[in-house]
Amino acid sequence: MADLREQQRITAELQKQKEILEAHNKESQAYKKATQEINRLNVERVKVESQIADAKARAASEADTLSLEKQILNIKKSVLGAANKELGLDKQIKVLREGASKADKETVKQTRAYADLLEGVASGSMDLEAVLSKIATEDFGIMNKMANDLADTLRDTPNLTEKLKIEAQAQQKINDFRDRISEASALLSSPKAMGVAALGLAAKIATDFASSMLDIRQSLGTSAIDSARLAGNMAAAGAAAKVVGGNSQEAEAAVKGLVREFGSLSVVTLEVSTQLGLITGQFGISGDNAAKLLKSMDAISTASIETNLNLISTVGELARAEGVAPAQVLNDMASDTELFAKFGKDGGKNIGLAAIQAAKLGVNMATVAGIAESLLDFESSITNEMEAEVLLGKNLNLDKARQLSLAGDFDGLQKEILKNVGSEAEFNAMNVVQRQALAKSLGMNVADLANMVAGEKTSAEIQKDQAKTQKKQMDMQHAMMITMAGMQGIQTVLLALEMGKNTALVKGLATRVAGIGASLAGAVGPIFTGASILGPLGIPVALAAIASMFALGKTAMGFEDGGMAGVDGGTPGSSDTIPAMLTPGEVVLNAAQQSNVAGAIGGAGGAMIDNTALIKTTNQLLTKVNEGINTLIRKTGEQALTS
Amino acid sequence: MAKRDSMLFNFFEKWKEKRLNKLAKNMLKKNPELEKNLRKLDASADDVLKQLKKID
Repeated sequence: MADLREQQRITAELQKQKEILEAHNKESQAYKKATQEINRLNVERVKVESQIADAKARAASEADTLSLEKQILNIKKSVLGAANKELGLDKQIKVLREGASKADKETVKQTRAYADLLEGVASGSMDLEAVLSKIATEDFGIMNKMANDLADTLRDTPNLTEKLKIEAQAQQKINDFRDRISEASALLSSPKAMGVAALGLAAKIATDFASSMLDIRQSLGTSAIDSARLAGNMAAAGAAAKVVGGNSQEAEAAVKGLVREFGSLSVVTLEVSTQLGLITGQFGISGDNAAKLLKSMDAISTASIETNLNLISTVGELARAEGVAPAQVLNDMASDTELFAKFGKDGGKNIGLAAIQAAKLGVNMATVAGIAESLLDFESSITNEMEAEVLLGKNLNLDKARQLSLAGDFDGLQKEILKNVGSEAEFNAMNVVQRQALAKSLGMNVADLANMVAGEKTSAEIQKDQAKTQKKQMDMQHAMMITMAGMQGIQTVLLALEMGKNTALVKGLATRVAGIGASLAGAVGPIFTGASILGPLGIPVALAAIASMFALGKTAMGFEDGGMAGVDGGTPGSSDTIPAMLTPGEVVLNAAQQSNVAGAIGGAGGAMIDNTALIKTTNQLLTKVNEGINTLIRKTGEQALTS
Repeated sequence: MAKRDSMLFNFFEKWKEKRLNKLAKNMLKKNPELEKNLRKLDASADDVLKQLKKID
């Protein structure tokens, strides 16, 4: 029994061992499979790593190629590149491409080094010193000679680096400019971008408008609709002022001021606002003063606001024409509403003219108004006038001034006052008591009186300048007349030459005429040129010089009008002799010999003359005369510009 | 940046090219030595090119 149990135990044990062995076998199989898979994966990894390495190398190579191509492009787009192209030279670029394509790493390295050097030189960033330093420190291998030649190029052409650098910078600036334009055009052509910009602008306008509307409502207490309408008109006035280069805030203040002054919104229309904006912008009158002035003008006339605005414009233009600041005149007009009420006529035109005159004399309308009021205080004015007459020792006549004051003609009044004051010299000759008495008689203080006198001096200077200009113009006309007379003189000389030609007895005589004429013609040009530095006076001087030359030429050369030679101008005697200057080959024939020659030719007894030289001389003279006229025209133009 | 095929780009490229050519002509005219040196440089490059053909 015991054996059987032992046998069963052994069998069970063996069964266990069998199971263990089977399990082990399974594990071994799995391990084997895993090992095989690991090996396969390792092979795969190596393959992939190799592919990555290849890709990296390719990428690096492509980057190198791209970089080299970029360098080549930079070199080509430099002045050096353009110069090579101009000369039809391209070997350097070929070397760069060929060298970079080689497998030999050293060759590639040397090629890249030379490409860097050439690009640096072409862009102007490397000068001779930098190139020599590179040659000393880097190995260019087979390209060493090229590097040295490049250094020689820089050495032999002064400032080459500087020029290359400047042009490279200019090219870069053109690129920047192109990119800016392109960005702007991209924005303009992009509905999305434009939409955003337009929305932003609209939002700003709406915000400004709402803000302006609230301000109006707050300050004038107007309804929302009226405030909006007024805000719109103010915006129109501001825009109009900006168009003419003025201040939009002043224009807006003028519209607001208009409502305040007139106490009504009905006066402010779009047209009035726009015109008001233009006036403030053009003439510089402040917004408040523009409104005040319009109110003052409205008070003394039945004209519309538009008419009054036109009158303000007229006064502004007149002030400009008189050389005084329109802003000063218009602000002066607006400053005294009382003056308008008392003396204003024709819608205030008389006040405008008076303000211009006052500005010219260096005083203001308050002073002029003071004079008028003082003169119209008849009793005191006459007493003061008489006192002044006694102290000054001369008669004053202020009756006309009083009359003008009464009529509101302040422009005439100021002129009348100046007549009584006299010149600045007379004023300066007065002592303090006399000056005070005169000022008192005119209803002004001494300082204002002195200003008026000084202002009058300026006017006198203007008149003097005008007289000077007129004199210049007269001088020019005079010079023109003399020139015309001179031209006639030259024509007479030409005519004489022509006559000489017709009456010359021999061909040699005509040649002499031509010779003298040509030399004179040659001298005329420089005379005009030289005399031009004398201005208008130079022309008559030049013409006189030309006339003298012709006269000298005629006498010095023994030139005669033609005919037979005679010493005393009378009938030639057989013993009469005169000096003659002949050129080789010329023959002098007497009357009998000429007759023989003429007979031999078969003519009617007249001498045969060569006109060619004479025509040439005439043409030369005419050319010089034209040059003279052109010089004169040029000088006249310059003179007109300076005057 | 302007597109490379745009009319704007071409206009500016032409402008730059004209500038360069004018300047290059002017420089060559005013500096006869420059032409001489550039020709020398090209001759050297030709020699190098021949040597490079022999490599590989």
